[in-house]
Amino acid sequence: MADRSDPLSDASNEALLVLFANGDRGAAETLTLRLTPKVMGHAYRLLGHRAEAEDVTQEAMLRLWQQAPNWRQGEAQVTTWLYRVVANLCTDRLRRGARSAPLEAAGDPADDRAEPAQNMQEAARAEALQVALNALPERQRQAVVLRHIEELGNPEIAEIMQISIEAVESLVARGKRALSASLRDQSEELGYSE
Amino acid sequence: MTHDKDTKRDPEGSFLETHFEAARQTASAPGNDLVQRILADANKVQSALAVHPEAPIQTGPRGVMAFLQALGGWPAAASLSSAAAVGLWIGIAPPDVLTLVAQDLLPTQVEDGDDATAGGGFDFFEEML
Repeated sequence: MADRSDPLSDASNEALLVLFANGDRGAAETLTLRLTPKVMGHAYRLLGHRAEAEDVTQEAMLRLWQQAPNWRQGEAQVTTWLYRVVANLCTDRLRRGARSAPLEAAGDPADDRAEPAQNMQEAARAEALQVALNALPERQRQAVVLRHIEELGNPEIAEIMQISIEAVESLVARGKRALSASLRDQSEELGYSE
Repeated sequence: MTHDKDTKRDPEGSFLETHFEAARQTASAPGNDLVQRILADANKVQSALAVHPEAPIQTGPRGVMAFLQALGGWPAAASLSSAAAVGLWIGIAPPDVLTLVAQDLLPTQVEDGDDATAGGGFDFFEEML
């Protein structure tokens, strides 16, 4: 989605946020196009519900815009801050019990861009994974998603979740064991094997 | 791929990795409507910043926070609270040892059977009447 001719496309998120605070409209657009897919993807993985993930995405981005004038350079990466905000917003929603049943959520279309013929099995696997993720405790789910879907390193995950690296490793290991057991149960039904 | 080592070590790794890869490939993309809503929010915030550029900047703490800061921050406030609580406790239920120390230190003591000291004030008032 990013425009290669955009002169801001090479700027860091932090620099763009400063430009945004100074009134640069182009910075808002570049940041939106760059960050929204990440935020949306993470919110969807944590909530398992597309409409609610969109609400969380809009709210997280709004908080980023509001934070821009007070952003302190060098303290945290924008993405780290955003992942933390998304996690907190998702946790609030899950605790309020506002979302629909997770299994209903698993039926949401995962990708508007997907080509059905090519991606049917991938979509089935992704959907099975989402069902299994929905069944995990919140912190395990967040750690597994950050580690294995967002592909972040343990130190950054520790910073996002505000826990030690050892705690991240423990959460990921326990989450993967639970996921594996859950997916094994589903694999025969989905018609694929290792 | 950042998980190759994990996959080699863990026989379950490749099974799970196929699912993680599928999830990465079928990421939930934001719709155009959502992008437009986010940009509209950005414009509103930027417009507000243009009108009140100094508004988001906090010049200093106010109210309770300012009071706490004047005391020396949270550690000082916590120490002060602890000291006050201990003082209240000693006032309500003084420990026995405190009474003994007070008797040793205070200059005016009342000895049992010392009528001149103990009843002096009462006699004075009787004479006045």
